[in-house]
Amino acid sequence: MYWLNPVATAFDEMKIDVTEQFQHLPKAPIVEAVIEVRARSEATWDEQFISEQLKSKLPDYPRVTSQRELQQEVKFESGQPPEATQHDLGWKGLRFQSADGRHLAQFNRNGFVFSRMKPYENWEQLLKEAMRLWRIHTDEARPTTAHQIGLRFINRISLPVQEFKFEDYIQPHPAPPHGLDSLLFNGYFHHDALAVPGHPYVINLVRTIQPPQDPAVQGLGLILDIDVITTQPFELSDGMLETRLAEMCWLKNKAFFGSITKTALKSFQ
Amino acid sequence: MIIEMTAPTFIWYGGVSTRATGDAAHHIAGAIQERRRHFENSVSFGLPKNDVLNELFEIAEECKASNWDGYGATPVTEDTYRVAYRLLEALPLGMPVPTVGAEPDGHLTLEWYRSPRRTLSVSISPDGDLHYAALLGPSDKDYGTKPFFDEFPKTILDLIRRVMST
Repeated sequence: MYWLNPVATAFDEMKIDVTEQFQHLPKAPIVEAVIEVRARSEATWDEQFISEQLKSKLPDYPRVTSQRELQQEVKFESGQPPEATQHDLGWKGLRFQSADGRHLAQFNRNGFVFSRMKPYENWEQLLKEAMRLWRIHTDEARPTTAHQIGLRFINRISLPVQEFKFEDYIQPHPAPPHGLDSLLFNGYFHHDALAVPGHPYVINLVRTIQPPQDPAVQGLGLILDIDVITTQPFELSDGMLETRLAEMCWLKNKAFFGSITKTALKSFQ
Repeated sequence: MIIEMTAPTFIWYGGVSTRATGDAAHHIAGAIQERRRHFENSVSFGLPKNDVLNELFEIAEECKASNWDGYGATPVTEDTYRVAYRLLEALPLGMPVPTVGAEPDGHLTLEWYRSPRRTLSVSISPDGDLHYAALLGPSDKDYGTKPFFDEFPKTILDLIRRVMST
């Protein structure tokens, strides 16, 4: 195991093979897949003009919400009750949702976010729709530099209502300290941030459990959140975004298949 | 197994997470916040940041009028104060905290100082641009501008580490 020293560490470049094929899982536990590009608008981001333009181009996304940037502040003074104030930092952009609720797109002054909610179909469908909407965004915002791209897949594996073992689902699995093996998990949260040698990416891997909304009929949800982000800005020249996303998708797949047990994989087929 | 640790050892080094919207995403964000607050409540992680936020408030108050330096300085606006506040809030737990200052052009500055030749200065503009300049030794320097998107830019985090590392 290596801990990345951000000051002075040299490792061999990791090989990323975007041609590698991964098993398709018809019942993949993906509850949300997200592509985000953080890139500042270089055109005037006028509320009325941008709203009209986007609405005319997105008739298949009928649910529209305006987004404002708000900042909450709480003042504490001795002998006085805390005083909360909210500051409106101005109009940020619009959020569009498709009629079936499965696609959400946010067009903001500082970037673009596309979410595909469950049921997930496949990478090609996700990428095609995200790129269509991204082009609409760039027509209006005209960004030239991407400060960060994110590709995030949140998986939620439903666990049995009765007893279960973590080791049947994920690897490495959580375990209590040695000598206290009889302890029972009452909560679990694990976060790894993994740098990719020779490439401008970090993989944030979060494993946690989500309590059920109705414990009588629903078990815990085992969350596997894989978030691949870029670590360097780059010019938005032709094809660069697609190239980055293809590499990030490979990393995401490797992280997923490397975290799931064979038993769990069978249940997704 | 080789573990190469650099001080400080408890830091969030995963960069800025991708913004998701569903129930599971909210649950994860809440869990991260909860853990962060847990550490912020400790003296070793939370106190230095609270102190620097108080310092920021005092400087912004002192410099909010025109000519605050007696030489015609531009006031520090509420917008600049808010950007600086959010930037400091976004500083990962366990990172060294800066000292705060104001410039005659109304910008606020954060400075990480180790020696006259190892120092980093970040100048904060009201529109959210972070202008940084670092001295990293006798013949090494770095400077540039980064936009602030509500999370601490990695480039500047790396410079803090380089300036403050032993």
